[in-house]
Amino acid sequence: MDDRFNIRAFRALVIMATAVATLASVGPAYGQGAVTATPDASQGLRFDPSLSLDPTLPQVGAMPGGLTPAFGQRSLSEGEWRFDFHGYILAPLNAGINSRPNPGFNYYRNQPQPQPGQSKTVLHAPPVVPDDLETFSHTGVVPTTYVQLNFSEGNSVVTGNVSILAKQASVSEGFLEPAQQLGITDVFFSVLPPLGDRVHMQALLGAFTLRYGTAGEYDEGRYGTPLIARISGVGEHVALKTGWRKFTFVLEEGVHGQTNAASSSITPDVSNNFADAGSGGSFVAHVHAGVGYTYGGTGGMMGLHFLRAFSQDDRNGTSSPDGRIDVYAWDLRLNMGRFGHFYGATSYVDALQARSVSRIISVLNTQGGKGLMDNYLGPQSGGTGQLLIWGGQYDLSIGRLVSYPVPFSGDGPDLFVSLFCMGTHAWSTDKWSTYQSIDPNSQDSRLKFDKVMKMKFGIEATYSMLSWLAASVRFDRVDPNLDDTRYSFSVLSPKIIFHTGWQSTDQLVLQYSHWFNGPLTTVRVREPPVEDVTVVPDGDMVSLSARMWW
Amino acid sequence: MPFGQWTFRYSGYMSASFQGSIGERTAPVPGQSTTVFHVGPQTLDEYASFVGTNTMPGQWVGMNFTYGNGAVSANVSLNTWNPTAPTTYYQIGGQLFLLGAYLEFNIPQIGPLRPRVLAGYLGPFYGSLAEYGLGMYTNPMVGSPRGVGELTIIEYRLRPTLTLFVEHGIMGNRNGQAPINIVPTSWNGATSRTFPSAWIHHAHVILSRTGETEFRTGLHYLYSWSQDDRAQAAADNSTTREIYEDYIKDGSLTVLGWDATVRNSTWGYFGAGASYIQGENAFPLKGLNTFGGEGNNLTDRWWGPASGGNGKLFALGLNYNTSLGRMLRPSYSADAPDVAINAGFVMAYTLTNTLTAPGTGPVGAAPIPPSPLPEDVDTFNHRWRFKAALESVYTFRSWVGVALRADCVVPNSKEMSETFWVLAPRLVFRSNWVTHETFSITYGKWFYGPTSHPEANSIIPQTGRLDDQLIAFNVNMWW
Repeated sequence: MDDRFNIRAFRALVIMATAVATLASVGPAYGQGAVTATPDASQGLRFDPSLSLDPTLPQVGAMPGGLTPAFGQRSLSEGEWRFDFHGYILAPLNAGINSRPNPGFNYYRNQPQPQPGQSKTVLHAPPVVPDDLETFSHTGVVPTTYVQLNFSEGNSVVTGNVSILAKQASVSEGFLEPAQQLGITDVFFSVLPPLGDRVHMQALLGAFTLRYGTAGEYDEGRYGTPLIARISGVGEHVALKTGWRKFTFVLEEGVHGQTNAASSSITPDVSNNFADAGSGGSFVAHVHAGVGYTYGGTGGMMGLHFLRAFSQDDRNGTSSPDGRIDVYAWDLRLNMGRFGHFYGATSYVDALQARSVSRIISVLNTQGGKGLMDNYLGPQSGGTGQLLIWGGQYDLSIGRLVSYPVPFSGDGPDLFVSLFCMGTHAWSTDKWSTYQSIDPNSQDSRLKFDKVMKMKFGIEATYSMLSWLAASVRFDRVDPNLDDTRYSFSVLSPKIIFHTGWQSTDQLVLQYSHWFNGPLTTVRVREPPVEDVTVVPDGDMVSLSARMWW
Repeated sequence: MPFGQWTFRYSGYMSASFQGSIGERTAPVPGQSTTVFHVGPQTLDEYASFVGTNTMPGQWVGMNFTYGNGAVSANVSLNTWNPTAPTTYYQIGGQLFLLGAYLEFNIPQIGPLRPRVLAGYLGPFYGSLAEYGLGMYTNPMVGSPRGVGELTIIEYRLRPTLTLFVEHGIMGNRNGQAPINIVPTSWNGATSRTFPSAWIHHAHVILSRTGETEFRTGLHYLYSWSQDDRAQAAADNSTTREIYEDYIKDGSLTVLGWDATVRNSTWGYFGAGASYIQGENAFPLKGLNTFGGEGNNLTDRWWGPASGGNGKLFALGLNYNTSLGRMLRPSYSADAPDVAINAGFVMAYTLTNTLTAPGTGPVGAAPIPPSPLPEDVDTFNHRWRFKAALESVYTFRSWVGVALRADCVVPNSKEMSETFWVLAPRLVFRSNWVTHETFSITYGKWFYGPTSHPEANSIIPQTGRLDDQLIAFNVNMWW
């Protein structure tokens, strides 16, 4: 036990040292701004840095071309009550292309495949590709349905917010998936008490989602994966900001719980999103501290984060131990003016008997402690293990860079480049686990969880050539296990993007993607999704997607 | 939507009904009444089947949100056919939630061409015979492709009053093939793992003439198909006669259709349409809603379970709406008493084939070719179906009117004893001559034939008897 504590303490020290070193190394970047700022507190607050994303922002990855959703403007006075309606639509038609026979799907009946009346080429919707949101293999290359409608009513002090969300539209369903129609999802009100110019305070009360570690400037980044955690529950969140000269100081805290828990009599199926009776009622408490610095039109923000998710519930079995997930993290965000936007974060997740921790916390898009076990710690771990996560994203507009010192408004051709990466290293008590669907005696059937390092990186470049037309290409490389490249794969995705104006809020994207799969590149099939190495993934995908935000 | 100005628009429709049927208990015991009341109604008025007459008003709520400008708009709709508050149990499939979500792009004119693109979750209807709906009966005479994809419409003005529309669309399912281990239950609409991801390709040419008499006619082609290897199972389920689960062929549905409508301010609105539907192994195809429904409905109700979705369906429909006030008074104003006449007629004919069975011999054995069913057993092949309706609505005060509707349904030319009639008087209340809402009280009486029966089992009561009377209170409003 002492050894384990020492190892954890050592890792925590390494993370902090890395954080300090990184901050020191990027320090000179602030000096590159050319504008002299007025050294007062309010100037510092104009940068208005934040450690988390606004709950009303869609939970999706970044759009191609560096576009970011800009939502409704708040009411400016206490006496003016304003109704606001904004939203986001992403509606893709995706077709995965493969060929018969596929050992994972066809049962041969002692007959060669394809049979008369069956084509050699097969079309899959949704595509059978390694892009499941919960897995490390998720790249976000495959656009998935997302519709969000936000309704709010309020003034400059208090606002009531309700959002309706769907990840499936009924008109196109091959079968009914009730859990994908989330319905009324967020219900909360925000309070902005007028505390003067030197202190800003925002309190959120109700049911909402918070995200920490979002790589994009205004979104979840290219992978659509918060690097620290996502918290979905009912509770409170308070953020305090104050300024001194060019510095801004941010302090946030929150406490969240859930409104229901699955009982042992419930049958897990698609209709209830596979309710997990093994999870107890869970809670999250979290604190965050950040310091920001502005210089002219540039600025930076460094944050330190601590989150604890825990469950101590006697309803999920007398032998089920209390579980917890602790997350220690730091992150750094740099808005470097014409030199672009950078975000980097490192997170250390320490899970102890976390099987009983519910979906109130999501680390790397997994669902609670069980999700961590399924994807990173292993089914035999009991939810005990550690996970080191690191990642970053850098976005640069070449048009803005080369037009300096003339301001670039975006009303012209531009080349937007984005670099992004993410990695994990897991320590687990589960040394080996076995796939369900292949021979357990085979070496290939064993899946390693302990001391596994995963890595992925990518680049996307979008050239906006006309007010209505842009072309984009994205390349991704994913190594789910750096020690065994048979699981690795790459994706190349050229796109043509149509929109109604240089700065329009709509896109029609025609995309082709090709996967360069390894011999053991694994996809998830069935419900609930499980990995099956016998399924040969689709190598190609064609997609036509429409999206708009307002 | 005005160009250059971002606008939020909210529109919708709601229809809420209290409706129950009245029947008789066959063998009441002490403490049980002879008369019984059933909710939902146990009459022969199954939605979307040929024996449905649209006499029951039903439930529907649709709320449409649009935000955009003249160039682009986002459209999202929330829908349900079963609002939660009055339910005795929570019926998940009744809440459709976000039914549609699409963008509409109005592309600037290219010479004489005016293109428009709709992309996202769509469900357009083709073959609507009435001015503001499908007509007296609810099945689209041509079809309705539903899915996610695009619909491109190009408008070309041939003359000042003559316009040609060319439409083209591609669609697919979002969630595609049902999970391999799905258990068919009521919440998922008895979905089977044998339903593959399906695709739709459709094209249309429509000619429209404006003027005092507006004329519109269109030719339609819709094709749905699947080529998915995930649905096939290790062994056949002998209880499903519609498909061999261990030998699932690629399926296809082809629809060729025609429709025409004429609108005259004096003589009213006339619509006619016809479609030819051909299915090949079409049982598991979902997405394309034809006159006979999707692949499973075409198989079970029109071609027979043994067909596996192999067959042909010919359908023809006529619909006419007019107002005696407009016909008889040249200076007619809608703010006055009126008699509205609505009439509809539908006929259909089917030809069927039987399904190819898999080989049962050694490895590589050829599939067993189909053998047609004996003529006296096959009740679907060479079968005609007819139905007709006539309705008259007399509005004699700004706030009240009376209506009478009569239907005759001949579901089976091979068994005329299935024929039945429906008579439904109705009182209609509203807040003004021209308004956005109605409140109606309907009484319906079914005159069944000796062997009248529903096409599906869902509305057969445990006693096996159908109710023959209906009471319904309905409110509806549109905005």
